[in-house]
Amino acid sequence: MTSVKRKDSSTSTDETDSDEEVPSNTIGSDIPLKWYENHDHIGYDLDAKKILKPISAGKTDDIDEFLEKMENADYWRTVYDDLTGQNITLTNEDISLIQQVKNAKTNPDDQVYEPWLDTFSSEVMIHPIINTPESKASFIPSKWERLKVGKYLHAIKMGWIKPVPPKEDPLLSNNYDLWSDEPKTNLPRSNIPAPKLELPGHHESYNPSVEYLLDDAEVEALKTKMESDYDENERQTKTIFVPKKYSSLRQVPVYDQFVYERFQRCLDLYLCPRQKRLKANITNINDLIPDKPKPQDLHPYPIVQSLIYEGHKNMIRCLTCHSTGQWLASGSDDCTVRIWEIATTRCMNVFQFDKPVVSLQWNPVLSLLTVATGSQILMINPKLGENAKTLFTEEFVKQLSYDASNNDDCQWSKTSDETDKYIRLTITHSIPVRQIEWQARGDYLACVLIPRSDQSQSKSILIHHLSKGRSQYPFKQLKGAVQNVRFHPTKPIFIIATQHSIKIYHLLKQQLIKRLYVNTKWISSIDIHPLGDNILCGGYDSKINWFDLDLSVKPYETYRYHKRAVRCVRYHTKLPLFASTSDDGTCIVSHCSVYSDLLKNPLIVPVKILRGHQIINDLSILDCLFHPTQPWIFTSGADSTIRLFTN
Amino acid sequence: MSIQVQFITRLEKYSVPDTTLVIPCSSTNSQLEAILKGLLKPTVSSNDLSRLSFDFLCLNKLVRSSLEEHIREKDESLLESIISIEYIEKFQGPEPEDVLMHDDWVSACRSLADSILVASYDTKVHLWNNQGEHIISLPGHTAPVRSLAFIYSDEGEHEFISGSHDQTILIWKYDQNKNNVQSLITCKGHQGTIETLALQKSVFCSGSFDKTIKLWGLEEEKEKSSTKECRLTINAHNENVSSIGWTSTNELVSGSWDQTIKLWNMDTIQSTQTFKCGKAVLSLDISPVNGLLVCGFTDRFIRLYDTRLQEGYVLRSTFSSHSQWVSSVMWSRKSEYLFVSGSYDSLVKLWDTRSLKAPLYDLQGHEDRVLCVDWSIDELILSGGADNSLKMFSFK
Repeated sequence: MTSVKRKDSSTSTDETDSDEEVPSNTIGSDIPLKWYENHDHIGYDLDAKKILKPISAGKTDDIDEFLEKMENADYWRTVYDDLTGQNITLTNEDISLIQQVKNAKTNPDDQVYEPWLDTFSSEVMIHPIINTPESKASFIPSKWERLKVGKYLHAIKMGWIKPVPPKEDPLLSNNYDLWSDEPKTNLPRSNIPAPKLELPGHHESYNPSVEYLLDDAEVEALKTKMESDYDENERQTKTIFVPKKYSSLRQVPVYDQFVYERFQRCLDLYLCPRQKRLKANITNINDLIPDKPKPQDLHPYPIVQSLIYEGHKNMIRCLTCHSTGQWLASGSDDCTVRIWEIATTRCMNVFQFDKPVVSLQWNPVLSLLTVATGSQILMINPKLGENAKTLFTEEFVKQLSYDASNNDDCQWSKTSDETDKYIRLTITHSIPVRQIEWQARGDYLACVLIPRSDQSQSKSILIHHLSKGRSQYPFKQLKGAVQNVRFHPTKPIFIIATQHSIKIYHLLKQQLIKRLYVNTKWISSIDIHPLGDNILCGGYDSKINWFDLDLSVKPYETYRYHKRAVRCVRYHTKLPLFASTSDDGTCIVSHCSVYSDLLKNPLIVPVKILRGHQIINDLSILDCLFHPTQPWIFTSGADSTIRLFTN
Repeated sequence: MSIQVQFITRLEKYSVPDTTLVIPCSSTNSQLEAILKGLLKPTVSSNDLSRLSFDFLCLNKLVRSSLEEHIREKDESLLESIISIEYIEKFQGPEPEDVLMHDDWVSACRSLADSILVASYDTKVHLWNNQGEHIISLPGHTAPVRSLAFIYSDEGEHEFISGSHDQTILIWKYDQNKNNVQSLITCKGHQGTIETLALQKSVFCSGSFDKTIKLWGLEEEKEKSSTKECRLTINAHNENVSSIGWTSTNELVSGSWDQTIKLWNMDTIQSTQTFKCGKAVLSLDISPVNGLLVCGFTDRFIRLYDTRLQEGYVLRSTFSSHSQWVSSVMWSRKSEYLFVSGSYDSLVKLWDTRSLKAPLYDLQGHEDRVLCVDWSIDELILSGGADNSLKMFSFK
């Protein structure tokens, strides 16, 4: 839709009166427009091409008209010019002129009676100023013009001059698709009002005229029609309306389905959530599984049970493996310690004691198997492994001197070669021992005791210094019963697990470094990663916590994959593996890659559930131990067997 | 469905015309044998036929399932073409001959000529003859004996070496006629238990739990000393050297718990090749006939390697039938296809390298783990185990 300002068009017509203006009328004022009504053009241009009618002008539809009316402030002063086929917006002068004409007034500015200036006199002069007769040449056609026309004609014939290309219609070029770049949406209209209900008719009145009432045959017909028209489901939502007549509104009964429908509605709402539940849009169920590598890619780890070490007569509490990986020692409730050859399951030696063996560990340096039984700690030289080491150990024990003064709490005593072939050193305490733990260099032996009820808890940890033959209580105060202790593998750091918490002490500075917040109710065992930055903690409430000491004092991960109490957690010394055993008869092996890069979190993937031990008196696997070099794991159980699982 | 076959053989006695036969695809060994016997009827007497028994080789593998399955496993398209089936005379399975009882576990056994040498966990070395008569128990070690090697045995004179948990190797010379030990040399030097011994003419090697291999000479020292030092030590592996063997006079192969097999040039003491196996090696043996290496692993498999290939596909085949660790393997001294294996599942199995899935024979009898097998003499297969017994099987 275009509208040309009247002023512009008038000035242009003034200036270029004879020039071609495309939308201007060429048909002449004396030709009625009606003649062109059924054509799509008006007149012809100089090239004898049809001048197309402007599409928009005069043929606008109602919507355009309406939009124009709403948007264009000058709509009221826009008129359609039949001759040019254009809308013309009238100027203020035009409007005032029209108003003057309408009111039959003259323009007050116009000077109606101006003085007459006779510039060109109408009177013929007797003696004209110029009276030369017209020249002869003015009657002869121009030669130069003829030559010029001839040239043009030749050029047209030769095709050098071409007709003017049709100008692009500015009206057409201004049209465009308003909705083209709008994205297609399937959104429903926000609000489509429901169709209005039909107003009730006479038949729905409580007191209809007699002609609306139905007789039995009609009701029957209505029912059969209903059955034939609707299927089973639709029929449940439809009801047959049978007009009834009551003499007064008072006699209209209550809606007979009212209570029933209310009850049904209440049933519907009964378990309806009050809040709108946020549904996660999960298309692929695998998205829920965390992105962890597959266990097949994390080999080697123990898979199958290979060997069974049989010989003990009661549950086996503790295991320890010789550093070469050739010998395994186990301590049992039948008061014996057995040493096994791992590769053949041969029992190489049996040591009999008076009390059940609660803990044992091989000295990391010397050939001394340390056994805790009752309130005693015994150091045995089993004479296995390197000959030189065995001899050195013999010599070392011979030269060992200790404080022989009669101490109440602990008493050291040597046993010579003659009296016993294997036992070399005995430390006797006044109270029973729970656990022993060698420091990595094999000089200090930490020992967890079970203090009597009248003793303070500080008596529960005793550290023996082997080379100096001394014992001391490192802590003056301790809260909570100590469950488990560990030495840091490289630094002088000592880790104590009490029932509810883990405390980390620096032994040289003699201060508490960290206290870890454990979310288990009762810690059963802890272990420290061979690199020393991660701690694993198992609890009797079947939880396993992984602490990253660099990260936080709260657990980095908590695992609840065991169904019963966790008895033991262990790291592999060489490979990225850890295992946990539980009373539910399973030992779960997990892969754990720990990175030296502080920004990278440890990668922990449970890879294998190992089963094999029987459950006896609600106890199953009591201890587990990785082979020092191979991806093998030993588990000892209440069924008095040790089982070896290999890759 | 049927298939076209052609019977071929190397047995001249029992040759058949090379006509193409059409037989059903589902034929098994027994059906093939019936067909073959039908073909042989005109040439061989019926007495011989009833005594004979054949085994069939198709595509270089012994037929153990139906013919169709057997071929499908290799290449399905072969079902269309004419298949040639080679038949060989089935040898008789080893017969149990005798059981020699000991006081403790039998950890190693070797036979030479008509003597049998047994190492036991009772710290003694026992000498038997092949009639099952006990000749003598030789005490010398202070801990269980784990490995043995026979040097020579002739007319009652025996020379052998034994390695033990007490970290020493003893070189014995025993004269049966005079009933005395003529010389006993102790080889000291290892810092771990001796796990394996391998003899080669006048030298022998020992592998130990201290991760080293030591080379010792057998020649007698001038001043008759009773101890001997090793010639050289190789820090061979990162873990227990569980088994070693000589492939040639100057090349040694060693298997270890560190999951590698290494080849050693004993002239330069350099490792020439290392194979990673992924599982701890428990035992290995080199075939004297074709030089292939067979290994027993902790993952219950036996694997066959060709060590002579410098690179490329070294693993030839995998034998799976045992259900426990394969503690011991040994090649036949004569046949290039046969070897025996002993496993912790208390079975000794006789294998043909052309049959991967199933062994030729299971030698039953042990009631506990089998710790050692021996097939040094072709007629005699020995196996000893944790049930304190040494079983003898005769093989024809």
